[in-house]
Amino acid sequence: MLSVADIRRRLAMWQDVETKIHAFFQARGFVHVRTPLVVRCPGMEPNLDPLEVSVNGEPHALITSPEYSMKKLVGAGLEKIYTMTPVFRNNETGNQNAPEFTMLEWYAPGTYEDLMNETEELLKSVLEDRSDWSHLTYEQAGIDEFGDPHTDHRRFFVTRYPKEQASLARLADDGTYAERFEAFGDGMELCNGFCELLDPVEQRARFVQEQEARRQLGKTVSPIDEELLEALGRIKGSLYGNALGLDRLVMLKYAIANIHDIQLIDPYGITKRY
Amino acid sequence: MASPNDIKKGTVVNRGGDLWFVIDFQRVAPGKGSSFVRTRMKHLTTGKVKEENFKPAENLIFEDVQYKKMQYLYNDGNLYTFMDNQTYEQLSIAKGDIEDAIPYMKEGLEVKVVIHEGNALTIELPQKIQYTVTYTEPAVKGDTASGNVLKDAEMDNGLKVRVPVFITQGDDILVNTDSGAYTERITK
Repeated sequence: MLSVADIRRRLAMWQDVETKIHAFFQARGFVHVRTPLVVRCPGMEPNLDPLEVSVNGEPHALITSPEYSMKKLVGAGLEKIYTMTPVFRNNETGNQNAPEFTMLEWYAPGTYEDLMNETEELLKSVLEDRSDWSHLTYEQAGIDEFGDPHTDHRRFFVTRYPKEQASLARLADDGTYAERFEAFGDGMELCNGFCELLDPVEQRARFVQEQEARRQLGKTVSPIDEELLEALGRIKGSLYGNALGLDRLVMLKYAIANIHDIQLIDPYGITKRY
Repeated sequence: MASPNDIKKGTVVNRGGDLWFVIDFQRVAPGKGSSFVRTRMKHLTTGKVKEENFKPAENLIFEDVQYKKMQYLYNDGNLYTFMDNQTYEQLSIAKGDIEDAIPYMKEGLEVKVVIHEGNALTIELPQKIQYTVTYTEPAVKGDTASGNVLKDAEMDNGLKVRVPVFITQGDDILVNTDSGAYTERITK
């Protein structure tokens, strides 16, 4: 167990970051929402491994992101929403990855530029550092086949993803790039923001592709979330969304290299001592 | 042939005859995009550290290495000597082969010696090592308001670490040997 002084110290870092995030979004008219952790239809990305659980004998999984629930809330009529929630991804470990971590997600009507400006303002306000973040295009950032940038900038946004990496992002009006960006700080990927694809037909086609890819990889294939598709069809205008790893933001602000060194409790219950 | 998915800390990968020791790895599944294994590897003879990513489909050659738990005894400036506590067998490793570990060494420290084809190549430190703070200035009142105010401290083996203001002389703390950073105080 950690000493209470260490627990307080780690807690203070989280509280500082979380308080600033609440203040930021509430000042901008966002509502803080709650989303379920256990769902019937988890994220379908072929490369993600949801933690599978059985609920009343039925197969369920822990969320890999609150994205589907958030979009359902937008489809139901909420406009500007944010949440901070635990998310779970099996088989992700390392100094900057843990199977359980905390995600900040927010959605609002607006453009690609609005989202990038908002994200930069949020980062400046949480980090209490007003210096500007560089904006590099995908090419300028030297993104390699693994999605890692190669640049000397310390804190930057990678913008204008190629069409092939649009994922769930909308294409720009001229069709030359995808309205997707990522922010990087001190070598850590912090967030992935999109102008969201809202076409339920294209989204369904995409889900079917992902189901097939999962089948080929021998991974669990979850049913398509019909409620989500219905919700997407009800969203009018342009919607942006961003998913930001909160643990990494705390690590960035307090210059801590290991994600385990900011947790209050070791989930594995063993503190190795030498 | 082995798969990058089988990489662990301490795996030794043979890349065209060069032996690389995996210091750290993570299986990365970016929310969007294909998954891969990111590694930080150290060249076993030159000590050069590099980062390399592998796609799961790649074929890799892993070298057979043995890890022997040994205790650090002493050094003569160039050679660092370790002892097997079971057999009392001793062996020495050149300072240059364990350069990164030198600041963390202290008498009695238990490490893993990496042995390849009968040669001791390098050592692996525990991820966290316990030290006693032998010197640090007392906290100034009002220092503790924000999350992570740090001050200088010196450990019983001479290692210098930035510690939180509540740490006092005589405290035992754990230091992360990957980053050199304070992680926690040992509750006595």
